[in-house]
Amino acid sequence: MSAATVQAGYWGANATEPTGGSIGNAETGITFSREDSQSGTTPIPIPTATGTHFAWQKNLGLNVTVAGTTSISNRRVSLSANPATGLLLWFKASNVYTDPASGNAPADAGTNGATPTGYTQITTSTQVYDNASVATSSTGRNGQFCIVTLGVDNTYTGGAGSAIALPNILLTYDEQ
Amino acid sequence: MQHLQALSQPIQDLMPNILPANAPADLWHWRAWYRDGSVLNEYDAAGKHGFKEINLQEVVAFELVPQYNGYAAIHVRIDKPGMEPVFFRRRTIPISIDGQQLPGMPQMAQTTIHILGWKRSINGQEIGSYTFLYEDGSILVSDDFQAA
Repeated sequence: MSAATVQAGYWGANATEPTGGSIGNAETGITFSREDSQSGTTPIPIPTATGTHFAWQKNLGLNVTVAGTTSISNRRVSLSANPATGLLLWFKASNVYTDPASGNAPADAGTNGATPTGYTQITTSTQVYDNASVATSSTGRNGQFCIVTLGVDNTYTGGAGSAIALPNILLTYDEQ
Repeated sequence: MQHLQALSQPIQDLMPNILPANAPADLWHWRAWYRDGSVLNEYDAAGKHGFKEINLQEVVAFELVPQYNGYAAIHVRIDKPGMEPVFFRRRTIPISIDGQQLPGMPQMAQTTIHILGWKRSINGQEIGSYTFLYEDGSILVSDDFQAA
């Protein structure tokens, strides 16, 4: 058996958990929006008064595309740099697939920099989202989802679309 | 431990390297040395072996064998009771969120840090030392497994 091939996966755009070839390749990029798709462009409105608006969640994780003899553990998430003022990214771990949709998105908040319920802020320091050791002997999702979202608050002045540089999300894991 | 003298090559001075496009995916492969002088290589005629196939109780040294010129062979001796070798490949995948990565564009490169070390339990407390080997040839040594 050969070494495992692991890809950063995107799970969405389906009522039930996508499997096999229906799992998106997050390494081609994701776009935070208010749309159930990997790269949708339905914008997140910038609050016109103090408050935070959130993107619909993105279900990220590790996807074994070619099985191997190794095991994966210590799955962590971080940012390559700090985002612009008024933008904060958040994560939570879950084994349960939830289709990104309006009703599943974090509720808008009346304060700047608000923390969505159940989420932890993603920073430039790595944080564990799943430490369980799971063999790569099966293809598909390895470990829990790393569910991420973006909050935009009233202090954000960078403009919409691609007007401002954004950091990368980094998924880190140990393979043994 | 006479057989340790047979380790594949002397430790070289590490030189900063710029990783070429044709470099192997993993810059080091592991080799476990057993008490009886035999070895288990990560890759052999049988294919790839997993770390879990190693009989850790019988290991007296654990070596990382470089797969590319300019990188050093590195080994750790397991010569105290209760010591175990530690080895991981710490891989990082970048995900662009700026909407600028158009379909068909090359994906950003994954990076791998090889981690070699040992751990040991003394009076119920685990201690260890971990050497983090970066792709550019730089090295970090720490007692914190999450240091990089």
